[in-house]
Amino acid sequence: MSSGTRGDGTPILETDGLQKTFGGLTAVDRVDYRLPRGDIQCLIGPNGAGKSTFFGLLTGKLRPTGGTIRYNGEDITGLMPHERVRRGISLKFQTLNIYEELRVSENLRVPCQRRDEDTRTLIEEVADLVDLTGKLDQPVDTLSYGEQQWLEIGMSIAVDPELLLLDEPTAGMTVEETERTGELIQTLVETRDMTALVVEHDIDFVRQIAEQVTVLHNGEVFRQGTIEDVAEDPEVKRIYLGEEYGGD
Amino acid sequence: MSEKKPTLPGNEFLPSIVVDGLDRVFAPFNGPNTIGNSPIFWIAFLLVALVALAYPAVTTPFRVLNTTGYVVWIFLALSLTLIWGYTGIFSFGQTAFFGLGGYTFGVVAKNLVQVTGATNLALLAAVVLPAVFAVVVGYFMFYGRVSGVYVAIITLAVTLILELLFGRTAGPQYTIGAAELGGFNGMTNIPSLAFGIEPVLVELDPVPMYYFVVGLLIAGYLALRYVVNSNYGYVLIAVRENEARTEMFGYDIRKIKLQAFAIGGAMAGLSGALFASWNNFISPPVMGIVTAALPVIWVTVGGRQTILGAIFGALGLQFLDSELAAAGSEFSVVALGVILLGVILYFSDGVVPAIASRIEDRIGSSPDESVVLEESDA
Amino acid sequence: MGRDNSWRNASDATLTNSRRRFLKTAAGGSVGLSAMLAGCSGNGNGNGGNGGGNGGDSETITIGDLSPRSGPNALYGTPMHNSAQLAVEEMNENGGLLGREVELVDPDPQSDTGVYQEQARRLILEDQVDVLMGGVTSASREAMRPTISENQQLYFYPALYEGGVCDEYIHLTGPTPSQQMLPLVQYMVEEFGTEVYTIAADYNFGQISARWAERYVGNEGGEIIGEEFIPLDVSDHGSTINNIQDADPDWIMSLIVGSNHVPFYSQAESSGLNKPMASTVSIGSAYEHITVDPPALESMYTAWNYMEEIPTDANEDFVSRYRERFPETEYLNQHGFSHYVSYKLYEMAVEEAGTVEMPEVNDVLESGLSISTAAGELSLDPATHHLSHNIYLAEVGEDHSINFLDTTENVEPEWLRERCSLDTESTWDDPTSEFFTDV
Repeated sequence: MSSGTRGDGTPILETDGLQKTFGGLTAVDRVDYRLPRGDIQCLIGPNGAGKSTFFGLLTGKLRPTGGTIRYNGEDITGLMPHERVRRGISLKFQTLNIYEELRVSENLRVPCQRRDEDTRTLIEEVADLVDLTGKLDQPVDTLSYGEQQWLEIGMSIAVDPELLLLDEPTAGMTVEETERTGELIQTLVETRDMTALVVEHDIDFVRQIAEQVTVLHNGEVFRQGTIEDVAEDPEVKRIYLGEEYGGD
Repeated sequence: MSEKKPTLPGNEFLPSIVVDGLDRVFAPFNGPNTIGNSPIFWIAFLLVALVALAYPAVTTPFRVLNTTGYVVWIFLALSLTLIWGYTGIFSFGQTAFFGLGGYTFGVVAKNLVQVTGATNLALLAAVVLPAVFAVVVGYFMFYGRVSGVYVAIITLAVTLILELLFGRTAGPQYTIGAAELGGFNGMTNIPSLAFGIEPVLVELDPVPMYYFVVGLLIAGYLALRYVVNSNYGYVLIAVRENEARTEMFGYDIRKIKLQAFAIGGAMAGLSGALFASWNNFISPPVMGIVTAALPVIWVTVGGRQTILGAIFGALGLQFLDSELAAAGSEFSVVALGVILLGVILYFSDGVVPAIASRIEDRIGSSPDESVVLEESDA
Repeated sequence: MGRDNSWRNASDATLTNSRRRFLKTAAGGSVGLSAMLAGCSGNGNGNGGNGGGNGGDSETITIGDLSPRSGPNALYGTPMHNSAQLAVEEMNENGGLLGREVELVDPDPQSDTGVYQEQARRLILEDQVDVLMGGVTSASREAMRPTISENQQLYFYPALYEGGVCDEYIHLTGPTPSQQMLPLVQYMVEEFGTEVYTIAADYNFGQISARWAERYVGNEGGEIIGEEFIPLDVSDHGSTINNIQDADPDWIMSLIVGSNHVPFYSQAESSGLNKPMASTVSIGSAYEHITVDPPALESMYTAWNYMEEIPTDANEDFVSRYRERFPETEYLNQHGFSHYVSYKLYEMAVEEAGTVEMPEVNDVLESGLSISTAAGELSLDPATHHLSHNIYLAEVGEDHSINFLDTTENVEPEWLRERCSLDTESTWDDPTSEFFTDV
């Protein structure tokens, strides 16, 4: 499943010395990261490694204390989240973030209506992609947890992004659902000219989709490489085991 | 997407030409974000409108005057429905804009009648000024990332401060042109609405004023229905339901809330201006804590996520309050508290949704509530 | 004066003419229709014209009374309410008015401006009262004034207030600072000195009264060395007391109002503030000498058109009748007295006019009436519709007993007369309705 970079290899996303400290704690420590266009990459690491903070910096929810972020060559470090989305970034949140009181179709309508095409057609299209076609009229609380996750994935792609950030998309999913999710992401990247950066804990899932893996530890880039390289690395194993002894 | 239309309530016994006609006429105002989308509902709506319009012919001038006095406050309740019920901004200070609207109307109208004999643009000024003030207050709140209960606290503080400031404007030095602000005693002899230029004048005596206000209400109701069922309505609801998610679709949350808050301020200002014109008098307590709580209570009891909720809550509770006051003084306050408590405990969505769902249980729900996708507006 | 007030008439004309025209025709028209539809529900009336007139039954005379028995102004309103009942009972015991029974319609306005407005509307438009009585604060009066003006309703306002109302339809039976202050300030300056510190409630009444104080103190060669306005909701007066002690005046002019301000006296007493005080607000209306423990009000000097303690035969007779009927009365204050006088004046005017038609009654009221009251002979000034009062100067003793020092008879509303000539410049159908605040 791994392949080389697609496109011309220019990075869609680049961070340079990115830093975030909270008081005395450095959560992200001078991270230099490049994400080539068209890739599917994963970000892994033990709890507390700084993955969520890193994502927060990418989306604009958090302001960095140092360093820059470049998107398609443009410095977006000072931009607000909605401005970044308008440039092509989209996020699937770590905790489920859908409109729980609304129906499936209404959930999809909110992102879809931003676009120029006919909203109804777009809703049906996205629903089809995430296998929710027959459930459009239903309130979302009638969906299974896995379906709700797919709904949110659908919502995050409904804005037609270039860069899709997914924060633990398979959390709580069954093995089948996890595999389906992996297929979905690959299809999206291949057919819609997207790039994906996924935070994940499920190693099988990572193996399924990732071309390159970055391991974060204590806010720093610890290792990078293919999943095979990284998974065999004894140092990587150590930092994962080490967390059992209170490495949170 | 299924093409089969579910059974419409009333379809069975209404001639299809009526059903189709009603559907076509009221289609722009139908949608899942409002209660009542069926032909039966619109027939009821037309009947109620008819009764409202016929009311002055069958009652005394006092009752027409009194009823107008209730209706002018509905716009204040509606402002809260829009910004709290639909957008999730809990403002406890809509009375600030109400009071500003009333005083602005008073000042502008008293000066304009000197020149033209009519109030003309005073009503417009009384809508614009509170809206501008709402933009200022809203800017500091939403662009300062204030949310939740702090919005309630800040807006309450604003209305109380305005009450205080206006209460200190006693004496002839606090005069704007021909209008003395009057301090604690209030501003009196505010002209009633009148349009034109001397000697061609249309003055709104009690009955024409009643029709004007009721007409505004009907128009406002339909306009709000259209807005909340549109894309814009969904944006507001999305902000209410989940700000973080909505922001990550590219929506500028701060701007959306500011816009909604400004519109709410304009509506509350309109309410205040109509009140000042109807009452010919306004005083600082309209911005005080007791008045500030009223729209919150009305909208909570009626149902804050529906437009009808504001209307029935405001009308019903004012009427009840007045009848109780005429009968036995202080119990009206107690009764209001009991009703509020009862509604929160047993009909937490409000009385109107509770009644609506009971009606739906009996006669079935209308298509637009189960089939969400109509021909969408691209 | 130098102010052009002609605009006031213009705006009022726009306001009132159209409403008046409407209500005359609509009262007749819609009453006809509703009478048809509702049968004899008591809502109809015989005459639709004139925007007022008899109540439901053409035999009884209806008096509308708005005296608050609940809320913060109940301590003023309860004596008023009692007076109303006493006066009406006395009228009916004497065979009624013009031989007709008098009916009192007296809802409780609850000290709430909104309720005042609605009840006034109800009394005027539905009950069609022959006369309206009541109101306590200027706010309540001003709130009702638009409805009173539009509907040409005869109205008596009994409370002390800041002065300045010049209105065809309103007669004012309470005292104003410009009447009370002269004898009081003269006495205080002569007795205690020229340096005065004023404390006043921070709203229209307090602010305007303070300007009167300044004016009269200045006239007597004195000086206001300090002036402090206390918001109505403040009940801790420590800082004010400190300021007064720092300023060290010869005496204090106290114009404080309301239940939050009354504690000032005991707080001043506890902090050893021993200055003589003068007031045109305390004692006679809120009867602090009864409600506050001695000797907090000791060395308080006050000037009133009425106090329960006035030692004349007429007053002792009045007080005993009043207390026999209302034994639980805490104090018969100015409001209670002036409200009673309102009823007596009305009775006198109606008997002389021979009718309850408001324009005719008003004409009699403007003819220069004199009436015997428990406070002596009073006359109703035709130009200003205000009473000329006998002002009683009194001192509060250590045990809070009242000692009368002097009486100034027939203190006329001179200041207002310079501005207000209702008898010559205003008619029932083309009325003046003004409120002068330019002290």
